[in-house]
Amino acid sequence: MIIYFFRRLVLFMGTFWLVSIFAFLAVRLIPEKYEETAFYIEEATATPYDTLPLFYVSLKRSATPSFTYQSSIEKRFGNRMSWHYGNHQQLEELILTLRKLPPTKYDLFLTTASKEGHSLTNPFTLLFSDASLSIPLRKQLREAFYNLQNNPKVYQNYIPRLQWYGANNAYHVWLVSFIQGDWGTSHTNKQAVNTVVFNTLVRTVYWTGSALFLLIILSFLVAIYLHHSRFSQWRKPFFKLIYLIDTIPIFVWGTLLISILASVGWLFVSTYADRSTRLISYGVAVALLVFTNFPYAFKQLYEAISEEKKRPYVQTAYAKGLTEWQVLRKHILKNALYPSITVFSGYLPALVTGALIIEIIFSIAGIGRLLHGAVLGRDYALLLALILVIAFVRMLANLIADILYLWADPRVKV
Amino acid sequence: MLVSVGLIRWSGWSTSQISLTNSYLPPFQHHLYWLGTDRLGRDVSAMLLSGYETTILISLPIMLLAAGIGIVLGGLAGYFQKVRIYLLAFLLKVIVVGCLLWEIYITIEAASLGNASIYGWLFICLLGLIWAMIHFLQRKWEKLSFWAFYLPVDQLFIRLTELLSSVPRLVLILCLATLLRPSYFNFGFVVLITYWIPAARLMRAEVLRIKQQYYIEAAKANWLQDFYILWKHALPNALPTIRISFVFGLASLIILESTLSFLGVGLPPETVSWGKMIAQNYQDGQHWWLTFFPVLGLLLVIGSLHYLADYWQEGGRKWW
Repeated sequence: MIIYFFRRLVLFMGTFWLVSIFAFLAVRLIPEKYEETAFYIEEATATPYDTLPLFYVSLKRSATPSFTYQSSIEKRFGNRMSWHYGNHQQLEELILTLRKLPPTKYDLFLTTASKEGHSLTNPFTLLFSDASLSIPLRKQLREAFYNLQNNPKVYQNYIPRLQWYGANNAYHVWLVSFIQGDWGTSHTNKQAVNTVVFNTLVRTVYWTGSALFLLIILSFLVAIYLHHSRFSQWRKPFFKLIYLIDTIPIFVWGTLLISILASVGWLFVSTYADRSTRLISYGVAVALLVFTNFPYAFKQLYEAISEEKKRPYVQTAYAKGLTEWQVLRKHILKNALYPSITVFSGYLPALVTGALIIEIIFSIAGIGRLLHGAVLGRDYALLLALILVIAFVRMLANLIADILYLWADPRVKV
Repeated sequence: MLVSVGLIRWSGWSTSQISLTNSYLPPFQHHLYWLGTDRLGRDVSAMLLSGYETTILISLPIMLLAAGIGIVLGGLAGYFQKVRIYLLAFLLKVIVVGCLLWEIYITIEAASLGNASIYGWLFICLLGLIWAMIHFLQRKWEKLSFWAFYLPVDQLFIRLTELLSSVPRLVLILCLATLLRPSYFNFGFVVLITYWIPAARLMRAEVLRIKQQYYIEAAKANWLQDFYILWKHALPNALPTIRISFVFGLASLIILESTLSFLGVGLPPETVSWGKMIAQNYQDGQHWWLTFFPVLGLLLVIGSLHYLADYWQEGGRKWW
């Protein structure tokens, strides 16, 4: 048991680590292609590790220099030079010499030299004849540039090179600060990400948890009652009703409900509302979440109870003279509890999805609405934290379900 | 269903035609605007048809592709449960294929930057040659074939589907849609990541069932090729079950598409869709026709798809 628990814990940590790598790389890598917004987002989302290499290792073209660039414009210049000439040793020497220039002069040089379609040699000839630079530096520059120009090795662009950066990389720095509790600041509401996430997480767990609790109780009650022979004529119409609920998407139910409530006059102004109005709003959201998720939960439980009904111990119980109600409640229900644990833990993703849509429609300030806001505002720090929190909660729920199953049903072997 | 897709093009109605004098016309009152108009005087019936077109043109190809991927992966996982692998040759091949992919990526990047050179193609040809060499040496030369082990393809497949289906689908799609540019292509890509799973699972189960049948044994006894058996015997027998999951998947994809456009994520902002019509107008209780007709259309499409799937599931009998 302890060994099993330990193994699960190790697996849990490993999976979480992998998820963090994927999420971090996806959030850092892909937005660069999104150029229309990258321009103004670059300022807002600047992080302390922007100039560091992205990950522990990287696969690069051999033609690029082995050190990291100081700025994005230097990177553009370096890429351009490497595509044209190759030969990373000479290129490294050239860039190191160029860094000896005064910073303003270097920036000016880079802006002209890094533009696609402009001449590569012209900015250099301008530098060589620049009287404000010292003569030895100009000589060094000229030598470095002609060395590169006379020994082109374009083929180096097509040879891969694995490079190891060690702990001094963006992912490592981010991970360490993440574990220490510094999750960065969100650029849409200028607050520390961890306080925002935890405040909303508590709210979401609170209301979806109560919805889950209600859902379990309600579906158990209905499934048990429908299995009793007294309610047998109700089964067919009830299944049709369930089918209807299942067919209609959640957001349609939400919009329908909100327009009905608006016409009755119960409008929700949840942020400035008093306690009782807010409670009504939460109550309606919980009811809607239970209502839309009811068909699936009910169907699964109904099937589980039907399976249990075929077992021989049920016949034995009837033979002993127990009533149908006693058999259902005392024998079948207890045995149908075990499969329901996996049913509900496997159902969590759908519950999260439903909660997201309902939170947006009823403007409850929970995780789902925060995620939607982060998506629309392209708030990457917040998005990364939210992805990890959702993944963490999800995996934790899985772990708890497995342990519960083990604890509830002694027949299951580790 | 497909016939009505071209209807909006053929009828010559326009969704962008604005007539401010005719704004908020109620339905069934004007001889031109049958289903009324919105705030800018755009025709609701034209928007409805156009939204229908977007829904079908997006969902149907994506679902076909997803079902195709699912059938291939599920069929392979179910048929070849374990594959015998020779470690050394396998590792070498993995490295070579990795280099090859990288080379192709670099060559494409070089071409797009205008720095194309002969070296890229040279290296690609070279790597291809090395791969072929390893492949043939492995057969000829016994010593490369040591350290054989079984790669559990089926187990890997099950783990992958479990991992992908444990992530909330809408959350995954929301996050990916942020990182990518909103376009039809990216939307399809993001949706495909999760939608191939149901078809693949079903196909795997069907292939596992079919593999036990006598006609497969007979086919194997006749020295038929594995892929030939999969194509000619397993696939036709699995199709009736797959088509049911296909129709259910199509319905859920239509729901997803309308939900995403309701949330304003994923598709380019200029597309007309039912979800967006509902999102823009659902708080407007006075002009009910702006919300009512898209909702009605959505329910009709989803309901008819479910009806079709149930009809097939019940073996062609009507059940209500």
